[in-house]
Amino acid sequence: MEKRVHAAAIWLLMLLHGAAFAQGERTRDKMYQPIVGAGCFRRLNGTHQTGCSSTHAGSVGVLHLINVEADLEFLLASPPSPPYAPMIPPHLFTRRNLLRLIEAGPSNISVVLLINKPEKMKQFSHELNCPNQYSSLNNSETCDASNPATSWNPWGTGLLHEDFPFPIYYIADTEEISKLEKCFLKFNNFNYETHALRSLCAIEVKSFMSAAVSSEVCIRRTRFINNLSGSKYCDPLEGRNVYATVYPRNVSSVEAEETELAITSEKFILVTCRLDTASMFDGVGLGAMDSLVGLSILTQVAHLLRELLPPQSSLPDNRRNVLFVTFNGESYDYIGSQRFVYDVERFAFPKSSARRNLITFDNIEFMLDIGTLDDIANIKLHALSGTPLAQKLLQQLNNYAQSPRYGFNLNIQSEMSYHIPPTSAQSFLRRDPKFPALILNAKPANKYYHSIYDDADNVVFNYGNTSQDFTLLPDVGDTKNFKADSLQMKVRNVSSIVAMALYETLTGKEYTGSKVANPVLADEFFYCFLLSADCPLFKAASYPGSPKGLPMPPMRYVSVLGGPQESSGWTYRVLGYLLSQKQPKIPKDNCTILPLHYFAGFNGVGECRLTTQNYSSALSPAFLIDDYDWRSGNYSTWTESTWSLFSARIFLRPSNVHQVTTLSVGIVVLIVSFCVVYIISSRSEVLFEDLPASNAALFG
Amino acid sequence: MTLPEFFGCTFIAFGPPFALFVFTIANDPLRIIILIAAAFFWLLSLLLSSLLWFAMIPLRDVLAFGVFFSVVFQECFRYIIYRILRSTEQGLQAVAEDTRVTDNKHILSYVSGLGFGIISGMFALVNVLADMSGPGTMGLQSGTELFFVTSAAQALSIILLHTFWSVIFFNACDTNNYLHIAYVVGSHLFVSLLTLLNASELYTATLLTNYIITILTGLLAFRVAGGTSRSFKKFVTCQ
Amino acid sequence: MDFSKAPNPRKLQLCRTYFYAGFALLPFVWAINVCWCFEEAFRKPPFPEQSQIKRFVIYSAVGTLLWIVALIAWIIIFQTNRTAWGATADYMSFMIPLGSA
Repeated sequence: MEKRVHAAAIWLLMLLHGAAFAQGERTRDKMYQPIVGAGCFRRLNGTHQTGCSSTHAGSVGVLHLINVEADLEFLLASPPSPPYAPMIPPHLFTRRNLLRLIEAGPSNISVVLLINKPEKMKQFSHELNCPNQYSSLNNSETCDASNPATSWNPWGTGLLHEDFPFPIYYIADTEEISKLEKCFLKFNNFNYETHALRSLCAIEVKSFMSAAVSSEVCIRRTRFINNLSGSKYCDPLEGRNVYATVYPRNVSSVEAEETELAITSEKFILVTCRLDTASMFDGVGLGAMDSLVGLSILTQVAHLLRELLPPQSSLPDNRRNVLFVTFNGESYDYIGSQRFVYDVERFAFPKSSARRNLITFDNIEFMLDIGTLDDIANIKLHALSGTPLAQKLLQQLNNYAQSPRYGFNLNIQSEMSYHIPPTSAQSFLRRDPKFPALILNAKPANKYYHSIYDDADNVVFNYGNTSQDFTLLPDVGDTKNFKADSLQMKVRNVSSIVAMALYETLTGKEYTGSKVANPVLADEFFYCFLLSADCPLFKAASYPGSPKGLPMPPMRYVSVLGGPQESSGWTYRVLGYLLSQKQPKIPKDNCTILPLHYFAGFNGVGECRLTTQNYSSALSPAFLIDDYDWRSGNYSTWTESTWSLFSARIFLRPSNVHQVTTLSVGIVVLIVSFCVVYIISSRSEVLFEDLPASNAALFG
Repeated sequence: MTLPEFFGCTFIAFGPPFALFVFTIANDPLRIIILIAAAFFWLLSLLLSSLLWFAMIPLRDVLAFGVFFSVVFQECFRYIIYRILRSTEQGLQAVAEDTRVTDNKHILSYVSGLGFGIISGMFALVNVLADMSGPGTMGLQSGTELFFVTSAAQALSIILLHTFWSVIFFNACDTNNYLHIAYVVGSHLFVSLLTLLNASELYTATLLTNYIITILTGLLAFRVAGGTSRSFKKFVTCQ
Repeated sequence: MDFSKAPNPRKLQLCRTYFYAGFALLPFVWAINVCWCFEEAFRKPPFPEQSQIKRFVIYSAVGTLLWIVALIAWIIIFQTNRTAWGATADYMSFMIPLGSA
């Protein structure tokens, strides 16, 4: 009876307790904690695979924080409980260290985590010393990887082009990093000798890549008719070039398009730049200095020319026009410009659906390519040879750059040699070294070229948020409160110089006005592309009342077909808006068919404008040509492997001792129970003797 | 849970029931059928309790409530099996190849109890096992590494308890021994509510109490089935 | 059907049919024939059709063996050389592994 009272007491207690505490909780949530980050993925070219992949089930490694280089030695010498997952801060994420980790093999190092602790970082660029080396001019003078003085990315480690046997996961968020560190400190960071005997905090990274070997192999397998499962192995890198002209072109008649190639005597000055950037990790990397500065200058030049130039009919040569092209996929062996050259060569630009006359190489007067402008005090005009054209443009540029009237105080040098920067012009020069290509490029100074750290901080961008109309041109003295050394003013100065020089080329007259490019436009442009796509410039360039952009910068990686293509989409709208002519007389309802386009405009009320912008495909010709020789190196062959998911989670990895103990206890229980049950069942009549003989067979 | 851990836990929880099955059930088709039928009835009780849980929206988070009614339903279904088995005894006698099943009524209660136990142990553990897939073990945020082993041991005790309870319960129904019936329902409730303490990681306390009750219940079932201390002595001394 | 209860001529007929069917590149039919008729051919007390059944069983067994040897050899050759053969091997495959050569 006493037991019963006792039980009742506990019973009551437990009912209370149960009501208070016992909540349904999934055991999985107690074991695993997801870690948010960005994965490194696999890209392939005609001959190699680069990047990373996890194992099919996910790679698991024991967390180990690397603070100093010596910490790595512990993992590389003879780690007690491999495989490990080193957490490496960016300043130790060097080529030497990574190669050592590769050498240690996947049985020792199964995952590498890059944690966002940039305090000690001095440089971080994993592009080659000579970006796009194998699709550039084949000349030793163009770029020498072994000589930092003449290479175009002296800080590059080339890790972007390595194939890693482990996944690399980038963790940007400080909260996620502290989760990892806490787990490491609590379970791993003591008594290293007994690692093998304890349960350790480990991470599992899933980033399995379907493609392997090379683009040739994976494209063949994807296209393969026997591919019953329909699985895709890889997709070619593919995007859209955006182009626009300063003067609208005539709509070609339908008949001409069908019967013959409509070649005209139009003359184009080609002004180009790069649209995309690259980084090792999926969805991270803004390319602020390596390509966004060039893009901002191109849009500013376009806008300024649109505002300054007289009507086309009043030009000395009224067949002249300016064609602005932003090439996509240039980071991966000039995909956009190679395709552009390929199309123009084959009389396929613009595509027939654009209903404009063809542009051939004969129509191109010269090309001004805006490369990377890391340091505007050191801009050079590059050309293969010192033609009169180059000399003239240089002289015009310097005329405005040094003119006391504008006070830009810049000096543009020139270099007429094969030492040509890795920009889009290379594709044109590869086709024809005599092509009149001029390149504006600064001495490389970007220590974060093609990396996740090439962001707003790298270009020292501070958003002015002036809320002023960025479409109006200010006088040269009106700096809109931007400091002389601010990014906005630098962009204003360079784009004004370029636009004025082009103005002089087109009109034959010196520019004498006082209007210059608007630093507010540069301010808004960088805000949109570096901080948030929900911004005044993008809003103005969209249809009124269209959904807002996401509060994050648009992705600028070229990506694949069906990828987000945010960057080209926004560039299309911005170029369309800035390079168009207002048509106040046309009502909204009639403003629906291109080239007429209805924009929200700066104040959001909506305005009809006559636009000139369009897309062209940026898919490498290698994927169009039947039986293309993938090893020839003629065209870009980059593809991106498909994958199903990126995920990472931390948990406690049971020690071998624990596992073996559990298993042996289980086996012992199994064996013992078999013996006991056998003995009982074979002698049950003895055990249950009180029953009648016929009944004494409970365990019969 | 890793593969060795998985097999270890499975062996701990299901090793003894498997041995019982192999030596006492597997060679008689009738027993297998009764075992499966009992398991089916347990599933029905689970269905009813889950329906009740689903319907009582405000009480969903109060686990004690669900546990209480689940136990009540299980005991109801134990009684239903008892009624069914007793009413079909004659039919069984006609089809049974091995007459012992019908001659010794404890065999029927043992078999149906084991069926009850195995299915309830499976549900107790399989839910855990399914959630455990992956390379990790318990203990990152809370809980200890012994969680799996504890779960397995708990499942084993539930399986054994169900077997004992059925033997006691059926006999008590036959002899109108209400004290025994009360003991079965009471200890079932007690053990089930005891598991709620696992939320606060009092594994040693719950597991120890659990096994003490299992042994006590086992002894009672032994007595009920006709065992005595004298027979046990004879058994141990191999006479 | 219960083979052992069939009349002897029927057994012989079945055994012969299976043996000939195996020539349609169906080694499994031969293998089944061997298993099915082995009892009749070697274990049962002699009956008139037994010698013929025995012959068919032996031939089927030899055929199965040849197939096994050939298949194993081909599988070994193919799997060890698959990556080296490149495109040719891909065209021979229905399932191509993900993420590796």
